[in-house]
Amino acid sequence: MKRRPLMFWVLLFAGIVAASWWTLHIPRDPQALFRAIPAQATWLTTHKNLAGRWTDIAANPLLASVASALEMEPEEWREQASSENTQEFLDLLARDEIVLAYVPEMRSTGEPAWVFSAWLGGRSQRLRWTLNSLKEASLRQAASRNGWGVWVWTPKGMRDGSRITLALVEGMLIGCISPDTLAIEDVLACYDRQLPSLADDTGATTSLTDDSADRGWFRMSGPNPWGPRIHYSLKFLPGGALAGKVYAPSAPSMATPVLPANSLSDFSDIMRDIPSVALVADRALVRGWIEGGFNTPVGREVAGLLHGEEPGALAFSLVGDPYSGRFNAVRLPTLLAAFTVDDPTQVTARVNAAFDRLNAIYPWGLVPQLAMVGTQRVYAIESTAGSAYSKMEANERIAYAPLQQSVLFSSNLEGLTKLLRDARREATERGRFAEGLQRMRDGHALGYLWIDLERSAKLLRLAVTAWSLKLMIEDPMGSQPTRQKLNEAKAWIDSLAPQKTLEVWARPHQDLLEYEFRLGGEE
Amino acid sequence: MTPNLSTNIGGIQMKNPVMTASGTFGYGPEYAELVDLNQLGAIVVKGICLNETKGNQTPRTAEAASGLLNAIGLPGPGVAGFVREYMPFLRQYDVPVIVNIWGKTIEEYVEVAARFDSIPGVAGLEVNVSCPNIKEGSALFGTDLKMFERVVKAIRNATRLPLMPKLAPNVADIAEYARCAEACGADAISLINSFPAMSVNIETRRPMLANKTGGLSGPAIKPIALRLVWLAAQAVKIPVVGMGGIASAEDALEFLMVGARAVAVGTASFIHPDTALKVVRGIEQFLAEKNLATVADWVGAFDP
Repeated sequence: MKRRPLMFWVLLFAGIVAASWWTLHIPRDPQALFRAIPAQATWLTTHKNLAGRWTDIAANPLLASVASALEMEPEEWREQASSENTQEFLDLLARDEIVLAYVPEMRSTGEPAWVFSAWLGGRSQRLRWTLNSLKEASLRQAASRNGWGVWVWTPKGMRDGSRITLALVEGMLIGCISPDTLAIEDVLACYDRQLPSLADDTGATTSLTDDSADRGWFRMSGPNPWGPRIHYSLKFLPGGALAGKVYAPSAPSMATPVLPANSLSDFSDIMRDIPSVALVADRALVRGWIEGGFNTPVGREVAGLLHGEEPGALAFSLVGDPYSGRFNAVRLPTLLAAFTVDDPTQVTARVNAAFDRLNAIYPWGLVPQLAMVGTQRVYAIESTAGSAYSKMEANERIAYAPLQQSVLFSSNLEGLTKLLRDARREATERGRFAEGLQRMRDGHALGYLWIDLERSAKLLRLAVTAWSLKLMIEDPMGSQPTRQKLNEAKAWIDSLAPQKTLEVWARPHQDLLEYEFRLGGEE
Repeated sequence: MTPNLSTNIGGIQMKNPVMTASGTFGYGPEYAELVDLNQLGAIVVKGICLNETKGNQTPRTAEAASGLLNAIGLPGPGVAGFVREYMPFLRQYDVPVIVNIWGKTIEEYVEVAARFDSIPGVAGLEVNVSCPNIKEGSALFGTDLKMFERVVKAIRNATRLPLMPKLAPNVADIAEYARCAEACGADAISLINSFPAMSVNIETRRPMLANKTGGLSGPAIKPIALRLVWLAAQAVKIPVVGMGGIASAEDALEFLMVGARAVAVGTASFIHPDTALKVVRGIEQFLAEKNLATVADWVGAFDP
């Protein structure tokens, strides 16, 4: 046998390597991930290297809480999240980048579907071979569509009879979760550029506002698939905290205001550490929102009351016992709204004029009735219209009090009266509310939201329980669906409570409004 | 051919030139079941001042030959009460609402006018300047030219609504007041208010009204009103609304002929609630018979 020269073997080896490389290597094309997503998607979320970060992410208590709200036991969640199967699954699909989207209506089926695409690169061939050779009852190969191999997976426990339809394309696994496997035709048609996809919309892909590993956008359903989107990014922080940013469309001219140092100091003295929820915002910003979004007589009156020449602030607070009030005898937290006014002496006249105008339009018959809390003037808003509101107890009615620099509205007179009495009795020390104001100034924010999740969850839970009880007594059978929804709401409230605090800052970012948030973790 | 009855009184567009006279038509709901309010040119509501008022002691009215003597004393719910209780009702109708306002002081007039300035559904203000001026003594705003000027100017500065001072009849020169109103920025004038008068009982030797004196209205004052409207209409360019004893279309046509751009039906509504609508139909019929295309063709047609 003739001995081959060394060069032959070298060339043969190089040829095999080149062929293998040619077969297995697929140049990374991140844009291709969006080619599989129909243009009418309303929610898109992308995740990089989920497999490599999964251990840290799975340890985040928020995910366990969310799982709990979805009726999964914490133990079951921990077990599944840390199982080898899950990690292998993620290693296979989520080592690079994975994109998941919700499409409210697929063209082929008319039904909603979840659509995903995962970049596999050369591993896609291995997956193809695996899928072809796998003997698994829940997985079957379907007829290829557009020349692409399709598999249908029917895992146990899927809601609504949904199935996962998979297709392997160039370096990617794409698929959709839908009861109708026909939905994959849309996905493949998008990928083959026969239907519009998100790749055709540069705004959907390039304007993802930062390079965070976890980010996405959502938009309201509508006829225009290229409507404005709200982008977001997430960061799973050590200690179980979650931080992120949300970018919403905003007026281009919005500038960061300077909140005067003494803004709402009178309201702050009343609030101290009491509120479990506090929201502070630039008064002009809120006024702009109301004028833009609530162009009704009531909206216009509220916007009018918020008008001021000087920079000012508006704050909302939710307070519980002992400052709760009642609504039709049901005990509920008291909602407070305070905003700075340029001339506090004119507050009553302005409110009266607003009532005049509203009374001229609606048969509400709103009348402010003076009540004194010490030397503080308080007005309960009564109605002469004979409506359900006019039949409420005096203490249950909406009330307001002109303060030194601001005016304070309360969802009920009872809570406001107690707050004002206690504010007079107790020393005005710097409380959590005042700190919130400072954090808003420090963060150069237009708005700042702070929620004590433990306390507010308790408040909300009590309120929801009371409401559910009232519904059950009044209409045991008819209120069943509503009470079921209230129970689900309680589960969600409970799921967030362990995170302790949620803080949100709102500030301008180019022509967008940026909401930076932090959920849980050490402050 | 159906004549066009529409007219414009100082910016208030009306379907026809017939409105109700203040104090004789309540606030609207009182007549709504008897009269289709949408067919009126405008509704002028009973006088409104800043706060709720109770009016005079009874008896408040007494019948006179061809007229009615009254001293009601302007009872009313005040601005807030009127807006709260009546405006939602009035807004249901496609008819301009003119609010008759009054005050005890200039400041009160201004305050009332300012509060109505932004009330949806209010088409204009008629200013009643015939009530006693408590702050300034016993002078009447409507019979003292300087006071009249001050109050109209002050109200003009307080509101953007069309402004229509209602002139008192018991003045020496009505043209002076009309010109003064125009100069102070009024958009129209209306005249006349009831004529100061009294009635007594010879058996009891007591006045017929608890207030002793009152205002005479009804057919008895129509000739007086007609003359004053004629004089005022010649003195100013702003529209004149004539009233005083109008009880028929013929009466109204007389006022229009001497220069009134619109008329108001008052005391006659107490006898026949639908008098104003009968006047509208009568005017329409008369214009059609005369082959006149618009009511404006008849306004000022008087040939002295």
